Amino acid sequence: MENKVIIEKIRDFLEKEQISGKTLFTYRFDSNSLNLVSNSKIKIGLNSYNEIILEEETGLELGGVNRKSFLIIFPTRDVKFVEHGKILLLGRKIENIIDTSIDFGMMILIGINEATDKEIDELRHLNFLSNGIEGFSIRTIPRRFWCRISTSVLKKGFSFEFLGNAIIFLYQQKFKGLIKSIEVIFINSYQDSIEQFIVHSTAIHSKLKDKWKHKIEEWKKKIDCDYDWGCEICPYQEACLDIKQVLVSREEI
Amino acid sequence: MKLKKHPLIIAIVGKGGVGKTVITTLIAKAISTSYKFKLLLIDADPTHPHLSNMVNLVPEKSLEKIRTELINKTINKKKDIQTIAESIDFEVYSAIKESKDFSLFSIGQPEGPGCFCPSNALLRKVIESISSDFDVVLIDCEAGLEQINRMVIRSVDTILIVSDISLRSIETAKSIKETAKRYTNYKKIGVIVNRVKGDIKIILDKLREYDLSLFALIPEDVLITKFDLEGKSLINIPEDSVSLQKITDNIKKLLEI
Repeated sequence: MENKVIIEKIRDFLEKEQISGKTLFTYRFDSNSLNLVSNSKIKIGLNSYNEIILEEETGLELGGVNRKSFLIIFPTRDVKFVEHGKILLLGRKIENIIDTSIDFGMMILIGINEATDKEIDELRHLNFLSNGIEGFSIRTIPRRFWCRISTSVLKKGFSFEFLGNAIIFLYQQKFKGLIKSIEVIFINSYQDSIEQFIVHSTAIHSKLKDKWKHKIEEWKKKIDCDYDWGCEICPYQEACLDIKQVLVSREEI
Repeated sequence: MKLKKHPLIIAIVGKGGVGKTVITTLIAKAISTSYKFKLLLIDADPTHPHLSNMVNLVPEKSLEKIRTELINKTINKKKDIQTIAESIDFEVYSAIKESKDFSLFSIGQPEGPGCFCPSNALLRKVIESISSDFDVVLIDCEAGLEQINRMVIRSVDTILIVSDISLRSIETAKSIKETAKRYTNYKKIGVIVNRVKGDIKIILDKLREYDLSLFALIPEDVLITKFDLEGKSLINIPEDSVSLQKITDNIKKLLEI
């Protein structure tokens, strides 16, 4: 499926959700990045806030173990299909959330120039976001999302609008020259929307899976075996095959 | 200080009884005192898992426990493959015990039967993925060479071989370096000579002969003995400890590759 079609499908989905009565907020990135850095009570800066938010300091957990979640970073060379600076929130604003953990999904659409596979891969590593926003800490889980927001920054007014702005700002700072446009979509509160979004985004994962297929096949050959692959003498062959399948499934996530 | 490699993975290895866990603890203390790095400690010694006591952080679950559960789940078909694959990273993450200064993760003692190398390979991939959330990963390895070509330390950047002032432990250091050359892609390797007292010219000559670079000489430290005797967590050792001071003096060098 072409990138344009994938993005259109996602936009249609969000529109339909809004028509069905769900809340969709639209924000715009403050293009004067100096305002964002100097006026916000919550500090932002590349590699400036590499703290771990401990459980007792956590005010809100997005996604995580017992929650529905997704994370999609979608770099595309079709720059014009990404609405630069747009931040969408399908769900509730932070001040209206009473739970301490919520279902959460995040998609970041990134319009890029010509880039190497390594550069594209780096766009998907979110440590720089985790280490770039005060009181905000992401844990890396393939395809799913898990992050903690500290109680102190919630008191300072942490919002999804701020988070979207901070994400765009930090991406632009870290990948100067590579990124042409960037758009952020958050979904929270509506578990069915998150599940449907995951279904709609399958096409993205299929594209990525194709790309990684060769890598995975190569990697599978490198698994050690204490029986030197003498499967006929191995008493654990069945379980071994099952676990190998788990391993492959995880790689494909 | 900015790290050139992220995450920087440092394995602490050496012959049994030379003080690997003590050195790991002192390095952890020195890093967390001097820098604001996200630090993950991995207690990879299944037979003597003392690191958690030394740093006063006890994880509720070990990797071995997760491995056993993983095997049981797949054997008993309790969950489908996709569900297990999606949850394994959460499982491992939930086994990390966090504190303000560092986090700890324990390999644990073998529990279940069977040698499922794919499960080890799977967990190694998960650990690698989780390590990317940290700036520095310190692995306190078991004695000997086994782990160098096995589970946890394949993608290590720096190998620190701890030795005492015995020739046997220098011989072990030599073997470790040879094995590490074959099985890892380390960028830096060095020796910490621990519990130094008296004339150690023979030891230093041997290091030169074996082309082993010296990282630091750590003097015999009465405070460490005292903490050990009193059953206190070594992480609380005061800053005037001579061994801690020596480690702190060299910590920048350790973090550079």
